[in-house]
Amino acid sequence: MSGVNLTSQLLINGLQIGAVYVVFALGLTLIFGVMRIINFAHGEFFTLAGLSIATAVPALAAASGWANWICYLLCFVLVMAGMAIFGGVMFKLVFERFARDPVGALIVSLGLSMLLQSLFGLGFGTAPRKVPALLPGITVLAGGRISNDRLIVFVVAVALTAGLGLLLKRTRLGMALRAVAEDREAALLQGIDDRRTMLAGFMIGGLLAAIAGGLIAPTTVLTPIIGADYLTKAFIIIILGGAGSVVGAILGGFVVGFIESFAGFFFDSTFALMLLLALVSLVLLVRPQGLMGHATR
Amino acid sequence: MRRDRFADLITVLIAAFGLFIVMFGGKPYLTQAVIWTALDIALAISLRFMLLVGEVNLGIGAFFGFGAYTAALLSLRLGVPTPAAILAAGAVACVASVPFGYLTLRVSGHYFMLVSFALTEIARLVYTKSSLLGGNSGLVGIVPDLAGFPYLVLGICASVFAALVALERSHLGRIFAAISENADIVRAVGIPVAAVKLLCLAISSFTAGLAGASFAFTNTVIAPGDFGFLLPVFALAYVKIGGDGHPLGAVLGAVTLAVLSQLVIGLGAEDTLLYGTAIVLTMLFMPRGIVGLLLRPSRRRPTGQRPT
Repeated sequence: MSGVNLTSQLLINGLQIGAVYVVFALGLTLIFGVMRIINFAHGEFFTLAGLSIATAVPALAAASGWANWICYLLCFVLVMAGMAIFGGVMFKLVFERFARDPVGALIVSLGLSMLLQSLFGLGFGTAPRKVPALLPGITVLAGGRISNDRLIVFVVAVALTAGLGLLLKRTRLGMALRAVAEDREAALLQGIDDRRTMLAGFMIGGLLAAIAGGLIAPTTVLTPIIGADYLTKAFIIIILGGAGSVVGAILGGFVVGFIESFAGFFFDSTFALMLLLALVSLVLLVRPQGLMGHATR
Repeated sequence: MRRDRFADLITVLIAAFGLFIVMFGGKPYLTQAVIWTALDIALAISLRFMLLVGEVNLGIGAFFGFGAYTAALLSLRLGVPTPAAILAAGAVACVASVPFGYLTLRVSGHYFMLVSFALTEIARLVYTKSSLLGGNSGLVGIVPDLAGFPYLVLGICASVFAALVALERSHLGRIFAAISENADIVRAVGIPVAAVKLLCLAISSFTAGLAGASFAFTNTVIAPGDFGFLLPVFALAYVKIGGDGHPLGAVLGAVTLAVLSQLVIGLGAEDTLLYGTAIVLTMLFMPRGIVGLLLRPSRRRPTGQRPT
């Protein structure tokens, strides 16, 4: 690590991990906003997309002889299209009838999570998988080093977050999503079809998890149960930022990313998690609705 | 009320059948299977106890684990007699739950289930890093120091079950039901809702700690992997598949899934697949569980939202 400024290195690591957490947690918080439920199977959207890409890319590369990044791009688009359909089917089959039933949704989504994890284990095998590096090499940024793949992950994650912000602010769908999240009855009175809005919210939310999974596939090894790790982090993020808050999820995601990066370097990853739990306790103590949450009881 | 008596009778009969197997079954494996099922039931009834106030306590895995590790340390390091170690373990789990509940139960809604999930997962990670607790390989040689240990465990599980059911049917249980229906009205008549929920958590954690300690002595080996988030999810599966309308549901769910998972493992599949499928199908098509079919077959609640 000669010639590397430790602080900027840890900042870069934190930003990069945090950006993926933000995308993942945004999906969870969006679904919470429109449906008032926590989807415990959110991590499985992440895992399914990641594992599908990690399986398909080497196979396609071997069959076609194309460069790794072309295969990745192609697989990414196809898998995300598939994941959008998967999200829609899950909504219609399972989640639609548990809208605004937090306990029922919790139980059914926990069951679904367990069921999907077992199926992933059977379908993909339990051995860890990873996409080979897309653009080998390292970029030096402000005294810190970041692999090209991780830089791409960061840029795409930030762009996606900005895109979601625009969607929510500017488009009709975004306004409908925000209206249903804020006050469902009032939204219904305005002629907003809440079922279709929930479907859209659920599909976008699931897709965000899937994109996060697809993005980290070239940088991390994936296992059928990796979704649970991300889900734990997303819960912490949501509590820190406030459930249903987009700005809160962004803030919380980067806080978690930085704490993992710094505490993980100076101590270890378990200490980082305990620190997060302490932070969560503190937030619940002094500001129970989360940093950006609305003051609902 | 008559239906309740009928369900109570079935519960007692199942317990008697379990005792019969342990006394006269003759095979150590059968005794072990009955004890494991009894521990599952104890855990499920602890989880169900908090469902009475409308909270899903996924932290039960952590409190079960606190109980198991406390009992193991007391027994291995200090040579505390088994029954005393189990009782102390319950007390430790109970005490640990109070600050946790104080922080999380003041906010209604979703925070409790989120943090309780995180608590179980983080507790598991902490066990893996602690050298006192044996790290990843856990603790071994937690042998009970009395001959009739199986009867002690069955006795603990039966007392826990009976005590929680008695509480559910007491005045306190009515307050629980009222909080789950409409916390605002309960608050309006001057009952401190958060304090009652905290009491509910403390009782449920005490029983989970007892079950965890009994688990440690039953298996004689404990490792962090035994206390992950699957533990509360399995307990939830017992309660929901059996039906949460009556305590019998926890018994029926645990027994049914114990038998089914033996069959499934015999076929070479994972039990998580069975549990996951069973939970999803029950929630979609049989929201009141097996007890719902048994007790009021004609009046099934339509699948749909609960009143919010």
